[in-house]
Parts: sequence; structure tokens; C-alpha cells
Amino acid sequence: MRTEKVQELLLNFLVLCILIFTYITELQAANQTNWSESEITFLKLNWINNLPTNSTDPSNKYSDNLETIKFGHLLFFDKKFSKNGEISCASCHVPEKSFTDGLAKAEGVGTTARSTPSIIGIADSKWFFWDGRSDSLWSQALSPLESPEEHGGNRSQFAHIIFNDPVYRKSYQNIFGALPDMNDKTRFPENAAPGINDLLSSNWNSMNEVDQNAITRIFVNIAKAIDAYQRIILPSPSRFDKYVSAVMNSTPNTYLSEDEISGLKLFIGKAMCITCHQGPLFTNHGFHNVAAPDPASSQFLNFILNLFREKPSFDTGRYQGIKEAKASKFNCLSEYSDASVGDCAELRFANTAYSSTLGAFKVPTLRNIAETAPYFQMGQFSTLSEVLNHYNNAPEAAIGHSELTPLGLTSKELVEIEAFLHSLSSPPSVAAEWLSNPH
Amino acid sequence: MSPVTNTNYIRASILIITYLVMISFASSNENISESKFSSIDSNFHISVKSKIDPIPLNQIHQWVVHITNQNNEPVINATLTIDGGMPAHNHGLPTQPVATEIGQGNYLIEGVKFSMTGNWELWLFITTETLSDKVKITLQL
Repeated sequence: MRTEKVQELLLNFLVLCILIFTYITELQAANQTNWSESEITFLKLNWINNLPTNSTDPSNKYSDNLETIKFGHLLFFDKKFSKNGEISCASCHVPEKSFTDGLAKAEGVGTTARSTPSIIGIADSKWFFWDGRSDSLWSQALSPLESPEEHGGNRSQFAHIIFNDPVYRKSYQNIFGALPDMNDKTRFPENAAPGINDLLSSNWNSMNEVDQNAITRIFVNIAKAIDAYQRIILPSPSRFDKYVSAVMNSTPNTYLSEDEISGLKLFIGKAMCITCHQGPLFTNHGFHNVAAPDPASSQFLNFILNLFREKPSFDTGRYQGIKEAKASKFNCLSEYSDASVGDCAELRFANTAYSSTLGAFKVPTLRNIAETAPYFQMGQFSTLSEVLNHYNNAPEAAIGHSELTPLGLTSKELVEIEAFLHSLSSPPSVAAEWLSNPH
Repeated sequence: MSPVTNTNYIRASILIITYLVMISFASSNENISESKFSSIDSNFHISVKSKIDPIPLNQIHQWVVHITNQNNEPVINATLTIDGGMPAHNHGLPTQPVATEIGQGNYLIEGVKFSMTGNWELWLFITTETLSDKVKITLQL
């Protein structure tokens, strides 16, 4: 009997230990701020530790090569790749400004229609531009190079720069293979490209198809090198990430102030920001209609006229963007892509429905958001406070159907969310040499 | 065996069984593997299985749907279209999934993607030569 009593006591002790262990584990997870289990799930979802550090792009087989990255670094900062020799990628994607420019609408050779997004962590995206009209980082890079408002250059000009510069020519040939002999300017005009203006088109049409394809291939490879460079620009842990790490380890910390913690609770709760700003870059990479104001659509007559235009003057966002991506000669399924059909699911199965895409724009990252004013696709809002008021009021959409509902946030709560957003700033995680002009 | 030892064994068994039941409930909530649904007018019964288990967030993946009729026979030569979204947020699916028949009443749905956590709704519109009906699938991510 005595042995059995000891056995029973031992068993009871074991059960007690299990209960105590479970209780302590729960307490640890809840942390000193009393985070609920579902809140912890959201904290983890947006934690930087979930950001892939080696994401690959099957459509660019050169992107993981260090020599390509170095080549792309040179190209990213080189102003020769423009109409007037004054614009490089870094002119708008300024490293010191979290790779944005502080302007409502980007200024290249001319003025563009939209604002410059940050490229920190951009490799994690599936779609590019505010309307997602490109499905790879390299196909995105092609567009500004030939846009009359941005670099204003042309593919034949760019190919000649590579051919004539000994450093560029050597790097290019090491990575991508032999260049054609471009000394014959009759065969390879110094300026030529399809569809920009009459002169460039005329020069382009004077070339035979083989040479046209050779030039376009060089143009694509330039963009693939720029893609490779941009892929290494990743964010470093912000105060938010350090706070989440401490919560995970149940370590007392002061990374966030009381207001910022309150703001974080609202961000994943009452304010519902987490609905779209979900994931380690604080974006679900989706397209949503958040009733962004559009001055063009607010004019009734203009609105009616736009219904009959092939390309409306107001910004239809993803509606037009996905059309362009599907039709692009440089998309994932194109001859210039290195991907197989199976790698192109995002493009093949993209939602093109009018009801889902009209007036929808890409959800931007919120990392470094306090450093990257103004906000929205045309810089419609100058401050975070204005943005938060917009979401709180949930106005009708200028075009399409808004997904917003009024939030009923108090002035104090709005201030707290804004305070939290300031905790998302951090410099890129790469060595300083990659962030400066290599020329 | 004494009554005390018996009690111990019973207690231990209850603990283990409770644990196993909890595990089985936990895993069944994570995905819709083998989940079964009936169409609105009860013309069809379907079972749905995601090829990635549990259903991933923000990743395009495939589902296999098995369709049977009221007599429990596989439905062949049906046309499936898919729609859906998040009713609470007034938006549709981020993708346009496409269904292909793969035989014996099975249909492959490609291009399924859920871009955020929350309650999702998927509608499968099934059309055969003689019948047309729809199935509502709800899931929480």
C-alpha cells in the first residue's frame, strides 16, 4: 500500500508539473503587455524574421550572381542612361531618403503621373508599379529607362553605352555573353526604339529583325542587372522588430513607448490596418481600393468623357495595370523571361475583373513610412496624420468601390497609431558601400 | 492490481485520450483537407482538398475537388467556375482560379490564393448538361 501511495503522489506531482509548465508557457507568450494569442500571431506575421533573405526570381537566372549585382550597382547610379545625362535610377530612388524622393510625383526628364515607391525589400514583391503593370523587377526597370518623363532614353542608346565602355562591356560579356559588333551605325543606329516617337521608331524600323532582337536583349539584360542589385536592398530590424523579438523571449524591454504599444494594438485591432498591411514588409502585396482621392475623377464632365476614352485620364489603377502586364512583351511568359510556365502563376491567374481591380492600387510597405512622405500613389497626402484621418473617415471611392469602413478612432488613438508607425524605420541591412554612388 | 493503481491507469488514460482529441481538433481547424460541402440546391456533393496542407497564406496553390451527384456517382464533363472574396472587407479574390477536369469526377483548381488572414468565401459554380448549381465554401485563415 505504501508503494502505491508513493506512486499516486508521484503521478499527481507529474500532472501538477505539466499544469504549471503550461501556465508559465502561456504567461511567457502573453508577455508583460498582455498580448493575446491572436495578437501574437499578427506580431509574428509582420516580424522581420519572416522576410526571406534569399528570394529568387525564376524569370531572371542571373539575379543571384555577385558580378551581376556589382554590374547592376554601377548601372543604378549611372546618369548616362538617360536622355540628358542627368537622371539615374538613384535620382528618384535616393538611398538617403529610404530610396524615395520626397516628391508627390516623381521628377525625371519630365514629371511623371505617380510618386516614387521605396525599393527597400522590393524583391519580396510579385507585382511592380502602383498598378502592378510589371510582374518582375527586371521588366519594371525597362519602363522608366525609355519613359519620356523619366530617363527619356532608348534601348539602342543604352546598348551603345555598354558596347563603348570597356568596363561595362567586359562585365556584360562575362555575365551575359558576347555583344554584337555595334561599330556600324547604319546597322545599329545610336538612337532607336519602338513606340516612343517617330524618329526613334523610324530608326528602329530601319533595322533588321535579328539586330532589333539583339538590341532588345541587351536592354533586357541591363534591366536584369539592375534587378539583381535591387534584390540585395533589404530592411534591417526596426524598433518594432526588436520589440517583437523581446516579446517572443519574454525579455523586459523599452523598444516601444507606451503610446507606440497602444498604437500597435490598434494597428492589429480596432484600426484594422493589419488587414492589408500584413507580412514582414507590412504589406500583403495585394491591390485594394482605399478610396484614394483622384482630382481628375472628381470633375463630373471629365468622368463622363472618360467612360468613352480607351485610356481614361483618371487613374484606374490595377484595372489598367493588369491589362498591360498581361499584354507586356516582357512579362513572365515572354521570350525574354527565364521562367517556365509553371513559375508564372501570378500572371496566369491574376484577377482581371473590373469589380476587383478598378481604382485599386498596390499596398505599399510601411517600413520606413515615417521617412517617405508624401503618401498614396500621387502623393495626395502630405502627412501620416492626413492618411490616418482618411482611413478613419472612410470616404466614398473616387472610382470603383471602396473597401473602407469608418473606424471610429479617437484623436488620441490616431496619435498613438502614428507614433507606432514611427517605430518601423530602419536603414537597409546591406553594407554602406552598396548604398553609395560607385562612380 | 489494486484499486489505486487502477485509478492511476484510468487517470493517465483519460489524460492521453484528452490530449489526442485536442490534437485532432487542432489539426482539423487548420485546413479544409477532405472537407465536404453540398451545393445550394443539393444537386451536387463535393469534397475539397488543398494540395498544400495547411492552406498557405499569400501563395498560389492548387486544390482538388471531387464532385458527386445525388446518387453518389462521380460527375464528369462539368464546367466549374470560381468566384469569392472576403465579404467583411468588400473585396474579391486576388486571383482568378481556373478549374480543369482530371477524371473520375475530380477537378484540379489552379491559381488559388488567399492574401490575408480572416474569413474567406469561395463559390464554385458547377454546370453539367442538365444541371446547374453552386457550392459555398467558407474558410478561416
